[in-house]
Amino acid sequence: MNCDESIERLPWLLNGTLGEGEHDEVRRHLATCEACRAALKETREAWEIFDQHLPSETLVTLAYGEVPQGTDPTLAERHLSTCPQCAAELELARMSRRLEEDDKVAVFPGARSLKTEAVRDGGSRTWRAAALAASFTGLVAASGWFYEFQQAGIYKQLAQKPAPVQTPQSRPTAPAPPVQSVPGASAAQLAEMQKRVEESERQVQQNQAALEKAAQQVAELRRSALEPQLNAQVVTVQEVVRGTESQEAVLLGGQPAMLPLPAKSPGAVRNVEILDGDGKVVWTGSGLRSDKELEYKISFRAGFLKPGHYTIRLLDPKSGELRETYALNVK
Amino acid sequence: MTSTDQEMVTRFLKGESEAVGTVDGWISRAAWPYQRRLADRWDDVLQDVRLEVTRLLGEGKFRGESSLRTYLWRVVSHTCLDQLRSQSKWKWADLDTLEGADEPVAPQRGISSRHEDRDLLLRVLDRVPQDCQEMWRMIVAGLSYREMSLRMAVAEGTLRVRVLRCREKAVAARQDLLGGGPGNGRNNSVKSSPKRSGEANTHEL
Repeated sequence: MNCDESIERLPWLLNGTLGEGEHDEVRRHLATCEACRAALKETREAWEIFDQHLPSETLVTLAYGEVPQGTDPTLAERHLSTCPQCAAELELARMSRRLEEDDKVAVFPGARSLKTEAVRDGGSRTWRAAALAASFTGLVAASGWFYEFQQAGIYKQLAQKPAPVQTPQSRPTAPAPPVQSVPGASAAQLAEMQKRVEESERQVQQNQAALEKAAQQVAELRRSALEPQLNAQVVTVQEVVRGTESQEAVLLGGQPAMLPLPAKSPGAVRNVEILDGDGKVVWTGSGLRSDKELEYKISFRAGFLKPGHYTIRLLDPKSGELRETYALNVK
Repeated sequence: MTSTDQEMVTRFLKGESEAVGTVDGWISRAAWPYQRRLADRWDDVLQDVRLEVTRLLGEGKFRGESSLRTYLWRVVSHTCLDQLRSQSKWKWADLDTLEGADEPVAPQRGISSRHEDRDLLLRVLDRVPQDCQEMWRMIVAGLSYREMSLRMAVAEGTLRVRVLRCREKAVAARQDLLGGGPGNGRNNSVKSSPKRSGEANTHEL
């Protein structure tokens, strides 16, 4: 960088906005060039001139409509016309004076800066949150270290014990995973470990059994959800052709349906068999009861019965004798 | 000075709560227009104002040329304006090591501290063209030459030369008003301004 380039950049060297590379180059040049250092001095003097403003006491005097002492009023007026900073400050002083002269002018607490608010409120909140998070992290880390320490202590203790004495013991029916012999572990400790393993296996077996049972229950619920419901009260279903023992009932298999079947007496209880066209039993149920309207009501889920002809047989639950037979046509 | 004002000053300086409350209320009301611009350190500013008021009253500066209320009002305005200016006063980059190589420590308080009349500096500034003042205000406000060139739609090189010419004009105006000849024995070592060709010269002030 030569003298011309350096001198041109001096104002921005002073206001600190030169890029890092330029800044360093100008500094290096100034360190070796006396003429440019003198130019820097002049630049500072120019800065002082351009950063010149009316004294604050002059502004206050002008705000009160008085003639300022020590400052040419004409010069002050010209400066005010060209300096937005002084003009704004004079306006503030005038506003303050108006507040003095008129007590009826109400003032409200000014808005604090966001920075101040952040420091006063958000800052402390952030600090508290950070401290809480650090505490929690520390707690987790301490737990981990404690666990590691505990484990290391157990292994260390086991390692320090004498060699185990092999003793015959009954094996469980299910083969347990082999217990690793730990050098120096005592027979009592090995027995204790074996006992724990067996206990764990029992626990696993119990859990598996409970899981299987739960799976069966779920499957049962799913199946029953699709099966017909006897004595159903839900009626938001399709219109069906009500059958009798001598007339075929008709319903649509693709939609839910509630099939009323005529009964001979109220309160009669029957077991139910549904047979397909080939005479194969496709579903059985029990507890079908005739209501006050002298009807048996069977509710079918959509899709449970494929299209075809079916026979519904109602049996006496005690004797198993056939009491009623109905024909059903599923379309 | 009215007896009421004198009594108020006496009671305030004694620290009587009613008088202190009254003066504090005046201070808060007088300082209110400045609050928004001094919000970052408002509490400190108010405390500075209270201290200044206490000092002036304690030293007997209030002579009753106006009412105590008006006097305090003006003191508050004056102090708040000074606070505003100290807040916006530019802190120059640390270049002391360079200046130290040139001459004995040059205080950064500037030439106004050399007992030159501030009125003189205002007159110097008054002689500098308005566009020079505007450009240098941007520099004082902390704009880079790239930002200034964008704002003014002028090439960076042209802008730098313009600013340099303005600097020379300001220093020359100051020397004229001081009555000294060119250089005035202080700037003899400064090189003449760079001779630019092409674009820069076409924009020369």
